[in-house]
Amino acid sequence: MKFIKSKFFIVCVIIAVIIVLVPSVLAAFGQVDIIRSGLKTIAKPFEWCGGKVAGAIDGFVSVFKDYDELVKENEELKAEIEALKHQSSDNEVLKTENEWLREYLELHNNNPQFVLTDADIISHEAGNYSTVLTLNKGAVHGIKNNMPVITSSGLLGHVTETGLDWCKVVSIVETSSTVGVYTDRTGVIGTVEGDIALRQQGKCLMSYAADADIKVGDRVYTSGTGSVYPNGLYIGRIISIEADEATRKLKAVVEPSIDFSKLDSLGSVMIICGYDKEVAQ
Amino acid sequence: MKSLTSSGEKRMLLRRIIVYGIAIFLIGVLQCSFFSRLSPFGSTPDLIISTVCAIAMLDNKKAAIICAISAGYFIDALGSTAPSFSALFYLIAATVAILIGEKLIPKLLSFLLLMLPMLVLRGIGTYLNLWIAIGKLPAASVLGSIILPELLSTFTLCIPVYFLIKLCMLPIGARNKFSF
Repeated sequence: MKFIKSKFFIVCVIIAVIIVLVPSVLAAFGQVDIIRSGLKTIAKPFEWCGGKVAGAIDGFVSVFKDYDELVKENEELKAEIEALKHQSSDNEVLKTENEWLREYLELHNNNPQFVLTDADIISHEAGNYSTVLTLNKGAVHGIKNNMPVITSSGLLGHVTETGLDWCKVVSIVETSSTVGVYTDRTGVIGTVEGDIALRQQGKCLMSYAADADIKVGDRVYTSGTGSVYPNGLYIGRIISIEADEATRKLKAVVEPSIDFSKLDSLGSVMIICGYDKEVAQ
Repeated sequence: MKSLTSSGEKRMLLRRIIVYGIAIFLIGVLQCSFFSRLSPFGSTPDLIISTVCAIAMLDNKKAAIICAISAGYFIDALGSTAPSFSALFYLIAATVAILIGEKLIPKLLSFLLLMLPMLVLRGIGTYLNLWIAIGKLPAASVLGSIILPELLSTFTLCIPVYFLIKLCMLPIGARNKFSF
């Protein structure tokens, strides 16, 4: 306590007060404390050095310090990407489903007399001579042999074999398939059959009477003759007319509305299970 | 000022002021550039209070008081804008350190013990500085986000400062030998 009462200490306190007050007063009057300014000038290069060293250390340390943050951020971003991918995938599924339902509705509206059952193509067995599609609907769903299978684009084929919850479909381009048809322009009646050469290209042949009025571009529909296909199902267009060397008859090449080279992309189809008699009448 | 009349003592005091002045200059620069950027524990440590405390406990009282005032002025020159009260603050810190330090054996453990009231002072000083600069502050958030990190970093770095001052005492030939 003796020290606090000493002249030295009192003088120091006064000096300290002056040191505190002078810069404040000078600053209030807009003046610069020369000593303060000088000290700052002297210290500036040292401060610069200190700042640089600290910056270097900080940079070095931040590599390790930020590593965990970067890993965490990376994981978060990955999770976000996954979520977005999932969302995008969900959207795609919903979009496809929506398109499918729209097509289904349109088909149903255009053919109200048909009792339709939707089915998914679960396998596509391509052989050298035939292509068989397996659908996920069978006897338990009311599916029977010879039921026609269609898409919103047109006729696909008919059911040839039925299991408990599956069925096999042979398309109209297969050689075993014969469909009674007519053309929309002139009403010429004929048959569309699969051809061994054309099936690879996804096309089929239409046979008709020699004097019939057939032109390229005519639209071909099922005529309803026979016990498999109902009347009025769209098949495709005539793209060329050729002479059959063996029989010396003209035959028209029909390009079906369904692209048979891309059956995998079809996804879903519809089976005509029956006919609503009231609507049909 | 009777003690200053002796020319030998005067010379010794001058020597101390020069040596400690250089130390304070370097420590001040470190504090304002190096540690203010690195921010250990998220805050800039107050190395000057440790320096003043170490000088007050280990060496001459007068040297401690002079160093405290000049260090305060220097720190204000480096890192703050007027009005600033660092010279007065460090004078108070040095006085408290002298009063308590008189009763302690000048060893590292005593120094760490002496640092506790210094940290309390530092906390009050920081709060007052913020209060003057900003106005009314939520004490809890200031304590948690500013004062405690500052005290923690100050206390951690007071040990190297203690040894630096001990090292500075060697050329001066001060009363304490370099020991723990």
